[in-house]
Amino acid sequence: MNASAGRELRKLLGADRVIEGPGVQRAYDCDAYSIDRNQPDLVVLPESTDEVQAVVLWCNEHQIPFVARGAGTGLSGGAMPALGGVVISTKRMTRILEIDIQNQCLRAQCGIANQRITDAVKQHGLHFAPDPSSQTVSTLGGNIAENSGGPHTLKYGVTVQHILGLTLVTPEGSIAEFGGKLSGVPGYDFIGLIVGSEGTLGIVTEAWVRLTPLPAHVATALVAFASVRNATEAVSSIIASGIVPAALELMDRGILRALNAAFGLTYPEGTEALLLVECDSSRRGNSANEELFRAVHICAANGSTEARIARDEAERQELWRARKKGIGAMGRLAPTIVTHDGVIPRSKLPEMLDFVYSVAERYRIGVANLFHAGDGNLHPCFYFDDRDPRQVKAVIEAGEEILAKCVELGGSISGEHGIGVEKLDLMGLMFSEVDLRVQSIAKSIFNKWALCNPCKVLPNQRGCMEHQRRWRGAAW
Amino acid sequence: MREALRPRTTNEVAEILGGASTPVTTGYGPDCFVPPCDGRLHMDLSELTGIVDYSPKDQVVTVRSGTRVNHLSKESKLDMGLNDYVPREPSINEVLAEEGQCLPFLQTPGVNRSLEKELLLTESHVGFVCGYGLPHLRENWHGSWRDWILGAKAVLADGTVFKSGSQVVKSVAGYELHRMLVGSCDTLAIVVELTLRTVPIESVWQPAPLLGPVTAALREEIAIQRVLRSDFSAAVESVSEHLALADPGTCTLWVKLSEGMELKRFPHDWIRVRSPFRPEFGVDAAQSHFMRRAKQVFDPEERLNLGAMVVV
Repeated sequence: MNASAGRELRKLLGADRVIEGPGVQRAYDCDAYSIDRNQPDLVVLPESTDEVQAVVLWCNEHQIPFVARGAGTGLSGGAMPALGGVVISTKRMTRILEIDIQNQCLRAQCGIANQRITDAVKQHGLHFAPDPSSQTVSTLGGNIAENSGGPHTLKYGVTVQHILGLTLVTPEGSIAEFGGKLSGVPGYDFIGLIVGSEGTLGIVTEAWVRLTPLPAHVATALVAFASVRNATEAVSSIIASGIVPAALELMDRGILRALNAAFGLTYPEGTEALLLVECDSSRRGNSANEELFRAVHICAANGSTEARIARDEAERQELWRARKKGIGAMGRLAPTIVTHDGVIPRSKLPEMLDFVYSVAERYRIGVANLFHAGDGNLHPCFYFDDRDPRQVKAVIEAGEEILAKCVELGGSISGEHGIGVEKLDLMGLMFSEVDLRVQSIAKSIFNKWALCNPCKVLPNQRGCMEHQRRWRGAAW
Repeated sequence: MREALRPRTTNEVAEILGGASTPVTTGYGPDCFVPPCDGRLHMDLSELTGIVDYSPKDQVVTVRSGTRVNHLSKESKLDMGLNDYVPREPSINEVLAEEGQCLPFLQTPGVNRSLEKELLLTESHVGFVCGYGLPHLRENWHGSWRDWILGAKAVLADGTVFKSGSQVVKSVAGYELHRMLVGSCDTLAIVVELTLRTVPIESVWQPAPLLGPVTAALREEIAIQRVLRSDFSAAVESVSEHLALADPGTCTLWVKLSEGMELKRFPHDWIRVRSPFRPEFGVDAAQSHFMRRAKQVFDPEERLNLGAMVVV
């Protein structure tokens, strides 16, 4: 990249909005998926759609690749600058632009943290329903790019169901608006295509989000099981019974051990798995309690050993603590954690969990599971020491074996983390060459050239193969 | 009417498209995205029926596009010259009901059957309903086809068969073009199979729509207008005796258009106009640029259902 690039971009945006140098390049060489890394040439911090457009036009003029980045919490390398170039950080695009309580929608810039949207409207009994675990920091734009989920996806749906409209700076640098305050706008559903496209179809700079009424009643229980199989069978039975819980989260013994080591949380002796069940209701009559009671009853029929039911909000928060602190607590087990993300039909959970344990044992790596059981969305967390290349290799291979099994059981290689660069090679497991070719046709509606977030989602893109070895350099 | 081809399998659809030398129109029996006309080949997909896979435990069903969502009302059967004894494929909701599940796209007690059939397509084939992606009365609670669709199999204009999405309730692998096919009137590709999530019948919300004075329908133009909640009462008032149906949940109105009638516009609203013979979509200029581009890359020779989506 031209040495004068920084100067030119400073002229466009202002002196304090372009950052460069070895420290910056290092800091932005990956997102929360740290196995593949590549350094950008520089990072820009625009504050508006117009400024994003100015940068994208500049990149087009100079044929420089660019990638948008929110909080960098992505777990598949979606914000990694695969071919270098410019990282467009949305860190300074955090404004709420309009709140319309009566019509239950809100327009914000895409750098806003997910949680801040809810904070802004909860006094009116509303919230932004998608709740990825990273929600205190992860941004609206990042959630849109990855079509993020979260524990309450089971009942409320993923991000795409909550985006009513968006402003897109296209890969060529024009500004396009899709949708608005109302759902169902006539014409092709481009919002449905753009949400989840991992920032490869342009940069979403603003969005109209749907606000959902907060539930009037919430009932939560933490149920202990003496075997993981009993717990997974309970999940299948709850789903099959017709109850639609707000959340259904499973933690296995690896997580419980970590929680005990980190926070001193204790569980009944012999507990091998915990199931967090939450039911809610918006209407009078509080069907939440009744549903929870039925779910707990189903757990008992599947051999649960104890059920703690929250009597008030403080107790509810306490029950959620295990789920929310689980990943953090794993830091106690080993220096490095890699969280995988795969989906299987919910009825296959018992079989799949058995498989995960057998793979971990075969590769001799530690595994703990904490995941959205109600959606069949697995998150096996491998803990290991990334200073040992053999362990790193084992973790990658074990992960690929698990995802291959997900596909074999009729599932998906990603439930909410995306493909990014992490799973490029695995796309062939799910899709034929023809399927992938048609996906590249869909991509070309917006992105005909290779500048906007190159080398993501679709494997074997031109100009990306030789670089792939370089990203993996750290791991192999 | 010109003779229509009636494929029964995906392969037959692919062969017809691959071998066709003229543009193609598609439909499901009398429901057509574009009616048959001279110089075009018409494909009637209503015999592409059946449930491909149903896993009640996972609440996921895969169906061929010619399967009906709901069973036919007695009046419809009479219209079609059928009687109760005529053997026929069960509808999707009949099959799901055996397991206590459904697609929350059901007939509504208290609403005139023929009105629902015309306005909401409740008795149509799933490929047609999904292809139109029209509003329905439970949308506010249960979402709509774009929210239920998990995957699809479709055929490009050159006969290439592809699939998109998955068979599980949550997946972010690859571009979700199955979602974009909803509401595309088969203008980008012909959808032949859909994978949809189902819901327990007991969780289905019973809507309470407003019924307008227009009851007997409706081989006439119908406009669907969605407005902000804050404008709903004013919108209902503005159409007065032309109102057929209104859903307070999504603030949507179904209005019978009479000659020369113009609907009052409200901030942020949208309008779709459809008639049984000539569907039209009111698409804004920004959207239409990318619609043209989508059509260009998916169907470069402009062979599929030309005119089904009017682009300004």
